[in-house]
Amino acid sequence: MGDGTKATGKVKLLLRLARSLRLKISAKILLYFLLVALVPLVVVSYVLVTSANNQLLQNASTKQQTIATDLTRRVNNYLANNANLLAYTGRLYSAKELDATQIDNSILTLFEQNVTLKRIILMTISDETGNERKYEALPDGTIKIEDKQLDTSAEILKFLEDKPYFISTGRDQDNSPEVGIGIPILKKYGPANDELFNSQGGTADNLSGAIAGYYDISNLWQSVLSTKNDNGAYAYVVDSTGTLVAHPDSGFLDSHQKIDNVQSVRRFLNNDLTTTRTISEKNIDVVSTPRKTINNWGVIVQEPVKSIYASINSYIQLAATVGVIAIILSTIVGIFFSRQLIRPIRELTMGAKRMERGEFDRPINVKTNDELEELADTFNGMAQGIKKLISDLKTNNVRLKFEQIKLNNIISSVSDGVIAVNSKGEILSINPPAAKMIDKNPKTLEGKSISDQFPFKHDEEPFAPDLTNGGIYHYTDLTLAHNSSIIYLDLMVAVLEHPDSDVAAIITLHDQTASRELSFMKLDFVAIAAHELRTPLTVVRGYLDILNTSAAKELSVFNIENLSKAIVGANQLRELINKLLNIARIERGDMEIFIEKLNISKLVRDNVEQHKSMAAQKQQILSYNADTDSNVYSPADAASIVEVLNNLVGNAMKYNGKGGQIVVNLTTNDKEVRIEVADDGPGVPDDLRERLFTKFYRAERSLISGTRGTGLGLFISKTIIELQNGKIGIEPDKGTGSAFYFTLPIYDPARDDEQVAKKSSGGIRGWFKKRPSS
Amino acid sequence: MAGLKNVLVVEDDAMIRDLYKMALANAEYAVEVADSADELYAKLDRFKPDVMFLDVMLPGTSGLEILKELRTNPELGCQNIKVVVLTNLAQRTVADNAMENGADGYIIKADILPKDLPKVIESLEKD
Repeated sequence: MGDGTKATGKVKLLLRLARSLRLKISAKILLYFLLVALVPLVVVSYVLVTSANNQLLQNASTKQQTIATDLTRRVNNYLANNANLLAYTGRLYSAKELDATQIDNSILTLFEQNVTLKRIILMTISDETGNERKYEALPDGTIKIEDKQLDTSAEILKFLEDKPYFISTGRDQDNSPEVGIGIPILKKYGPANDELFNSQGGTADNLSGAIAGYYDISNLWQSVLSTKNDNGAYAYVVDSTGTLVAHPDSGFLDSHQKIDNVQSVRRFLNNDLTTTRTISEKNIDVVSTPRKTINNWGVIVQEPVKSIYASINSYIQLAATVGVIAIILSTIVGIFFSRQLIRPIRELTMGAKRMERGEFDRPINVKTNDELEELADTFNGMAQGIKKLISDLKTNNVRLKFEQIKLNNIISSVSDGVIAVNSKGEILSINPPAAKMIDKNPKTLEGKSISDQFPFKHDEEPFAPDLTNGGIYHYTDLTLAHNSSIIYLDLMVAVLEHPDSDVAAIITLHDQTASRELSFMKLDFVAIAAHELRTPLTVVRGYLDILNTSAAKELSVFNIENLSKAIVGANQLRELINKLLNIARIERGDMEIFIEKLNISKLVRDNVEQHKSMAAQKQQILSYNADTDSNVYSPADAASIVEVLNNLVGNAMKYNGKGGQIVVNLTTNDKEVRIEVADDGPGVPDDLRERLFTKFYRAERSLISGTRGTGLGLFISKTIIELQNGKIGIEPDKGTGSAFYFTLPIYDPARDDEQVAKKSSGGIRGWFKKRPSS
Repeated sequence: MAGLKNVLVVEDDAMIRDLYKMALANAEYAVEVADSADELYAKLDRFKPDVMFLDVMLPGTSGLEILKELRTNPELGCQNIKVVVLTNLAQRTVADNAMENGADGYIIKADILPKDLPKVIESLEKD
């Protein structure tokens, strides 16, 4: 469990690491893939290697034990064979005093039997006094005899006492390893002594001598020590004290003697003969097996653990190779799979990027039949939605542009100046017509103060529109002086109530100069037209008058009548032109009245008389009534009053039908004279009365009755009468007909004499004499 | 008829000129006519008018300019004669201008009849 938790922890750590590395999804997938592929591989490899290791160790141990046993047996055999031969030979010399020849054959036989026997030492105790004889035989047959006292042999005896044999090791003069085997020679041999290694050994009493052979054991050691297997196993030999007896490494043998502190040796000394992993004499990790020989030597077989596992190493190498290949393969496969997995995501990403660039026509093509395809479909749907939105926006944009262009065109094409100002009166925007009024480029005016750039005046006083109170204001009759010319302006100032931008007010400048000039020109046109008409009229009237005065007596009655009609027509034309001129004068405030002390009663009576013939022609009855027989005077201009009378009486006759009655009444009081022209015609509707005295008004009914007129008469009459301090009007509806009237002041000498003196026409129409200068 | 006998009519319209000449001649005035400033100045060399009827709208030099010249140039000998301006113009400014420059009055040609011209001269004699 603990390992599992740790492993989970490690995986978590790895994942966190992967996250912190900001790996791409493909890399992450690859990583997971590798983890999934490799972890089992590693685990399996570990288990396999471990079990193989155990197996190998066991195999090695078994082999090793076989070897060790075999080697031990060989040593034992060698020693036992030679000891038995020696013992057999020794018996021959039991309790005998031998001469040199006697021992020759049997000893030399020993040499024949074993070529490794280098020398034989035979000692015999001659008597109890301690005399003894030592024979030393060599393989070449030479025998050295040496008589010695007992004390010299005591050492041997001591060695052999109570022991069936002794074995020593050493080196000869050539430094070759040798083994010496010593056997006691007894005086008497019991049956049990046949078996050498089971015998009790000789006692001092029973001891008659000893025989010892010295063997060159190079060959034996060579065969033992050269025993090596494939894994590098070898054997060495120690004696029962831990002193090194034989070792395949002669250098090691020379430099080491007692190695009882070596772990593998100590085990042997402790009588532990199992096969175990331990530390060798050369301080190497080994598996060793010790075995004991008959003489208690230790044959220690060992082989390095490394070499035991050498075979597994190749396996591990193989496994590693396979692992690497697996990693490479799984990487490739992982990359392939992650690509496969990532591809739709890439496709989605690229599709989204295309959308970012505004390309909505290519759909994202993901056919994975899973959530990604759903996502892609959603994306495509979204793209279509966005595309439509963009298209709508573009359409709207085009419309807006169009509207903007239209608006711009309108603004720039309007002749009116338009200026946008902020609350400080600084120009934010100005259109060309406004800038042109002061001959400036619109761009150069932005940010400048409107009052500095446009010094408006009203009645010669500087004027600046109020920009603080919201609302729309109209200012008329403003002037703007620029470069010696004066522009007449009307302003419309729209002050924003709640300015949500910098714009505080929009000022529209309407240039009235042209229309002012136009209105003057209109009057001039009328005047000029009248002038041009007057010239031929002057000629016509002049010649008609000549005809009338000098040629009349030569004409027939019929032609005299024709002539007078021509004169009337010419006079009508003159009146019409004069009316037009009067209107022009009235418009310009230029009407000229020449006041005189006018006999108004006579003038009215005469005028009525003059119209009677015309009334008769229309079968109308025209009459005159006055409340006084005496003359009535007014300070008035005779010609203009005649014009008024002609107008009123003429209208009454015009609008009245056949058989109609027209009465001109003159009434007076202390202050004024009142002249009324009443008829019993169709009358004037109430709703028209107000407009009767305005310019160019003609009652609709006049069209029906087919009468002609300029529609100027009443307007001119009103102006004329009012200029002469009188009043003009129409009586309230009396049920039948209509009654127009005008009043004039009664002449007051105290008031009017002076004025009359100033303005006098002398009674000649068209002649205006200069007044005496005051 | 006392002092004012010689009348000079300056008018570019031939018919009006003839009408006025005829009417004045009938009334036994000595009448001379001119149709332009040049002709007028030429006439003045041999004819000294007592009264001059002077049209305002003349080709070339206008009547008002002639009037100024007459009143300011002593060599023409017309500084003290009566000058009546003839016009058919409606604007009073023309008449006012003429008066200011020494005219003794003005006539609206369309309104007056030629036979009334002697009456005009008579009214001038009253001064």
